Amino acid sequence: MVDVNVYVSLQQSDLHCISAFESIRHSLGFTALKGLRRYRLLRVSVATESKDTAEAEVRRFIGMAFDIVNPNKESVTFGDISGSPDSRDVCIGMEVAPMEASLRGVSAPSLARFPMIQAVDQCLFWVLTLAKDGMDDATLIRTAEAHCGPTRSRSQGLLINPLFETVSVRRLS
Amino acid sequence: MTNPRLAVIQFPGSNCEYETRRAAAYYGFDADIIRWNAADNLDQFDAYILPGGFSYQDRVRAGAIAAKLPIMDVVTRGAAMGKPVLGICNGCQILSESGLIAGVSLGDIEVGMAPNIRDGHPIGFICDWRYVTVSNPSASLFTRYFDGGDILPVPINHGEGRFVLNHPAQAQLSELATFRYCDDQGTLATTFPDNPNGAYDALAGVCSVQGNVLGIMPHPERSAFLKQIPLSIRGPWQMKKQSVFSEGVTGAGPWEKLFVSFYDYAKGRM
Repeated sequence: MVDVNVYVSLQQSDLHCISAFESIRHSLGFTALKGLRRYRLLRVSVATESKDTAEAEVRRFIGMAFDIVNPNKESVTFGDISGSPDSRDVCIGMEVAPMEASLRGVSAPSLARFPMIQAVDQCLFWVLTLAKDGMDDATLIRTAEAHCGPTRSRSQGLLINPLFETVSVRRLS
Repeated sequence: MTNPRLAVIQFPGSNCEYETRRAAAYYGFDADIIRWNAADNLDQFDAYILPGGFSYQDRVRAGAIAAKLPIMDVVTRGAAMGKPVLGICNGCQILSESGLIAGVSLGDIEVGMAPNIRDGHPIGFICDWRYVTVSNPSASLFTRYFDGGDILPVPINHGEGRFVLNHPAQAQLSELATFRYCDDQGTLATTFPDNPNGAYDALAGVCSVQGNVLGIMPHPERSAFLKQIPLSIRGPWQMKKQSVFSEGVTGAGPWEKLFVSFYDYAKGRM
């Protein structure tokens, strides 16, 4: 079994991002946030041992399964997404998933037409671009997690509700 | 002597502010609709309602963006001063994201409104009528005129209405739970459809420790008048409606006591 990650984002303005970005900068006062992007992360499990075969099958699946991705308004990135090319920035990804594993699975009629596709799990993936401004990377990432991550109070956190969502944070190269 | 002034706060995406104002005015409030960006004179009001709707299109999570607005500073200050605050549906989601319910540890987010589920699977948006029963009527100023175990029909309209509580709030649940989903006989709902969203302990409404803030997912303002009861609802409220309907007379609905209690409390503080 091979898992292939597929990142799906809106081609035009993502209003979730605009509101969250404004809220984090203006209401929460975290001005080191330079950019915010939001993806649907699909983790597709394919019944094969070959990575190339798995990726080819997932590309075929995503290209034909219009009930999973809408090609009229969404863009797709296979594999991993990259961070900011600007060396003055740090990019981190926050993977946000429902706490209950059963809520992560995607069920769609088109799945029946692709017997090699064993399961599709879905979660949100936020990409935060942070300005270093003289801060060391580790401190910056910790600060970003505290300001933008799990909501602990009105003045702390936004993107995750830790009462029913889990988060894993990773730095993007 | 004047009536208490009530602010029904309209966020971008609210859609129940007019019917909420009408219900509140019927029960005596001098009610105004106040926009989210007009917080300047909000502290002159005696009470607040955060109405239902989809503030900011439920971006990120329902209520998450609205909870961060400066107007919620005023509501938070008012709640700390003992002013009554009622959050209905999206208003309940905003209160939970603001940390105003349950208030065991002041300011902490203790109640989450998660997406609806049925048997562990997402079911999306629900629009229907359900029954709730009153728990701990003395815990909240909004419920003190009810009797424990009263059964009330009420409409529900939400996609993210599943109450989840953190551990300190769970421990105090017996004091904080004011409304729970039940069947038409008052038996607590354990499964769908009586518990429509998989809420923890069938919770439909939770108040603050101080009792002056109430978040409720169903819509009492849409069940405030007898004429709003649909034919599909059985029981005494349907009979009451039928008994007067042929005469063209309609009056107060099942949620009269909530609004009267709300009004009396606000009036008593003036």
